[in-house]
Amino acid sequence: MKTSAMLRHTLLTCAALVFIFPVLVMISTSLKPLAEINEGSLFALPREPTLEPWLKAWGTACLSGACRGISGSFANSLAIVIPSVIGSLVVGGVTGFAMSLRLSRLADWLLKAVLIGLFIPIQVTLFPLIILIRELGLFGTRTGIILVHVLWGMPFVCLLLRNHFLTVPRSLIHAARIDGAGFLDILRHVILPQSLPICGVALALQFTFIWNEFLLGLTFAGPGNEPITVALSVLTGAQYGVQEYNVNMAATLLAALPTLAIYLLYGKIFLRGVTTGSTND
Amino acid sequence: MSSGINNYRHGHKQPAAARLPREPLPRVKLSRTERCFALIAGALLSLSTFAAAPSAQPLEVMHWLTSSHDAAALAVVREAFTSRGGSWVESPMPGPGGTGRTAAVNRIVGGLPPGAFQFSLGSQLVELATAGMIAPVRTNTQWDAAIPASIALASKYGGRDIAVPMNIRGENWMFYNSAVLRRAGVAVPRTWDDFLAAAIKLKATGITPIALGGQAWQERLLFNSVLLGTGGREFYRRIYEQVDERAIGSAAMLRTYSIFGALRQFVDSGSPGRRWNQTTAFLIQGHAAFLFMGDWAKNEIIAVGLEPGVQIGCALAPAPEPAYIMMVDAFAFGRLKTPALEAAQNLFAQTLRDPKVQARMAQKLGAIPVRTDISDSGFDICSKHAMSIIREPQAQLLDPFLTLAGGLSGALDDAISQYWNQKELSAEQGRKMFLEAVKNNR
Amino acid sequence: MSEACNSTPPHIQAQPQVRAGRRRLSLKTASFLAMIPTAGLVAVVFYVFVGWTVVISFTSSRLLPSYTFVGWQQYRRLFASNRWWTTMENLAIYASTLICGCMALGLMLAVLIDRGTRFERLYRTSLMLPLSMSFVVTGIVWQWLLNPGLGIEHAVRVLGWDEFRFDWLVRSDRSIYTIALAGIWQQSGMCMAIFLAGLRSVDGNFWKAARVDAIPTWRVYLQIIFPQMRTAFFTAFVLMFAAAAKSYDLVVTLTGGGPGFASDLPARFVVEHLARNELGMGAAGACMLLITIAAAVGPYLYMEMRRQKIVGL
Repeated sequence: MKTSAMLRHTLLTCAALVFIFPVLVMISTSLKPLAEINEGSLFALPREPTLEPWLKAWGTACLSGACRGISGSFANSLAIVIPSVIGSLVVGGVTGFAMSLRLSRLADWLLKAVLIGLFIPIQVTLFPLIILIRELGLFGTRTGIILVHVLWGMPFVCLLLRNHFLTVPRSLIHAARIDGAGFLDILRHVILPQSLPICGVALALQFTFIWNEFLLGLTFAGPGNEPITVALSVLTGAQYGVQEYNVNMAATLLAALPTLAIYLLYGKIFLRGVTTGSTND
Repeated sequence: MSSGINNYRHGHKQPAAARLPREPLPRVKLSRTERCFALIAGALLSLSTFAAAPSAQPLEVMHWLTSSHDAAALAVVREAFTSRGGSWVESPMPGPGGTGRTAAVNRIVGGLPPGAFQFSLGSQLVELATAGMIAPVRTNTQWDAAIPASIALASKYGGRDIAVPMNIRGENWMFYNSAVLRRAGVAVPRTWDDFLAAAIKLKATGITPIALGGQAWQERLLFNSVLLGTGGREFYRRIYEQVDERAIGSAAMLRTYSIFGALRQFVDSGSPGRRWNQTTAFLIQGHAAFLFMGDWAKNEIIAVGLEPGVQIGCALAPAPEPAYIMMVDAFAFGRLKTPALEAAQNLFAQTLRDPKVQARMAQKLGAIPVRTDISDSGFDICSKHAMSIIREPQAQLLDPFLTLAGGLSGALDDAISQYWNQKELSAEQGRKMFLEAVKNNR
Repeated sequence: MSEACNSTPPHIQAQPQVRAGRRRLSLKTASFLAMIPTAGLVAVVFYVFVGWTVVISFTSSRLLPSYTFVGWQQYRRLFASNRWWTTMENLAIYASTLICGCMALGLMLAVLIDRGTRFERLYRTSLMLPLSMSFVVTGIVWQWLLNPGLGIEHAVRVLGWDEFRFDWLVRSDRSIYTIALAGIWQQSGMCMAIFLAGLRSVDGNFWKAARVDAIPTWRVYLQIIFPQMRTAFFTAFVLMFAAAAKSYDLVVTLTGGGPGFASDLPARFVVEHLARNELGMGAAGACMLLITIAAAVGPYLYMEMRRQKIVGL
């Protein structure tokens, strides 16, 4: 059995290294001066490592007219993501709880509608959404993009929370009801204390999804509000001047850092979030 | 963005009075007389603010002139505009051309139209004007007489000016590395047959004959140069202005496709996806001999300290008669319902049309001015050549984007690009794809 | 869905509580009211808008919506477009490569981990790392790696193997596979996680019984364990297919659809045409995309909803 264990570990280690390799290349490239990149090879480690590309990417790289690096759009992304996550959690929580009670046929209808909504691609509703946001006077504003993200994040959070709330024993709810608790009271005092882990899952996954999102940010965030994915795409797609690959890689890493950090700290959450609803339980 | 912009979020729905700046009144108990005075003073103050509005309310200018040369050109306009009493605030677009146009369209359709925005003349602008989303500017007959007639036509809708052309970009340039040509003993070709012979010779010496970036628009530029060079000016017009299907089915078109197809082998393997600035660098560094690009490439040449026309030569792509394929950048104006800002828009138009501004702006951009009545002193040798050519009306040709409907222009790009990238397609098949694209998208 | 439309709204029953003296809504009413805003938004954003797009696909809209009805013309133009068929072909290639690759890799890794390893946490973390990244980041990184002059091809040549070619990124016939490669790298971790959970939810008694009967391991997996993981397989298939069909960010940043439009995908085709003054044709493309997703995902959704109904969840 030892050889099979060794084989297993070798295979797994190889796979893990292959998966990590691109990230390592990113880090290595971001620490090289430009001359080394043009003359050297991808596999070579930096001979004269320098943090200059990182500083440039953060503070002085030029994109769309300003030379202030991606720090501005990093801040934009934070300003967009945090309210969006809170918003979708609140909406998803209230709706998910209402759906889990299953006291009217609307609950089932909404479940089906939301499940289908998960699969509808953004492109199919992009233009009418632009018109809706325009009529609300929010096009190109931060509130507009936050609203769009809350709308699009709703199905996922609703489903996630609803599936979890179903596992709360009905007896608890009945007991609270007898004590005179209303809908929101039950949600706050009975359901929520039991659901902190799943709320953590929803938070982490929504943060990741919204932070990484591109098309909606490209369309709805106005000038000055663009999220980091859009800024990154503009920086690396620049049509003018020399391509500074090291700065591009540093900027890419900076953009990936927050979600990477959340992932590394709360990896188990990802596992739970991904597997909810995928098994026969 | 200034607060002026925020006032327009609901601009078209609010009455005029609501758009005046409102200061929160201090919580102080006033006697009746004091209140009376306060009211009168307030009214006078707001009246004077209203009267001073033209210089207080800045015009929002959306543009894609973000590289160093382009920014210098915009500075010329800004100086002239502010010296005439205008004030503006800039909103750079996320990218040039299609990206920039999409950003402008999103703003307009999204209810937040910019005061002035850079755009390309063509069917998109006309459609916006049809939908009533473009603010026309005052026509200037002297201007109309001084610029090429086709451009004057393209900037009008319903008899009124919907855009002010900023400069003319020439697209059928053939840049060449003089040193490379000298070393290989090749002269600058004047016909496409000569070019093919020269290219074969260059390839034999290990030089990449053509520096090309494998993006649809760059491939289209090359194709149009070949089309003009094979069929001549009239043929070009028949294809791209009249979209004459018989012309497409003619032998001249087949010849265009054969030559275009023959050029595929003269491009290096690093070509696919390469951006135009890197492609220009490829030429400058001596890896390639020829570059078919618009005149914006000159800025990259200048940026490395060389002079266009000297170390990197500029000639028009081989053609039977002199002709200039023009792409026109312009500024158009969104509908803002303030008279003050409308005045600013007209001031902006006036500034752009000024011959001095035209000349200095074009010099900085490496383009040529739209007006044909400007002296060519201060321009580089390539621009001088271009300016002399366009004085002849027959030589004025337009990029298809200005003459074709948006869908057709894009579909032709697809057809040309597909032919270029799929090397096994024959000239006959290529021509057929072009014809199908036309039939499908009329 | 028609049930909700035909049902009458519940009567609002005020139930005065002895304790509070306030009128309280019944839980049924409160939950109904709580769902109304969301239901309204979902109905509008996900259904009315889709309906609007369907309507627009039958009009002559170009840059701005117009309501001139033109019948099937946009669809005819769509189907006569070389580029559209290329994108659909690419979708088929991309989806099948992505699904097979992710599922095979994910399954293998899940089985290996499930067999037992001390470093499970470490392996899981590194294998699922790419999931935390944006498609934009993935596209930029892989564009760098696959760059013929500066990436893997060049690096391997520097190592001595002069003839090594890996220029798929710039070849018309291979560029779509680079997108699949990047996609597999990014999403195998998700398949692995789903399968791992599926493996672990299988009753341990099966293993004991198999050991008693001395059935070789591979047969146990193939004939006993995997059939039990049907839900996991379905879920993985559906999620991967939906992800493939919606792919936009990856195409834009990895190949830009190129060379030419050789690696273009329907999602990008639709957005491009919205930007190209072709609202009508873009809408037609979007509807076709929706139909494609519905065809693949529909049966799963239907079964899932029936299962929920039967199980009474």
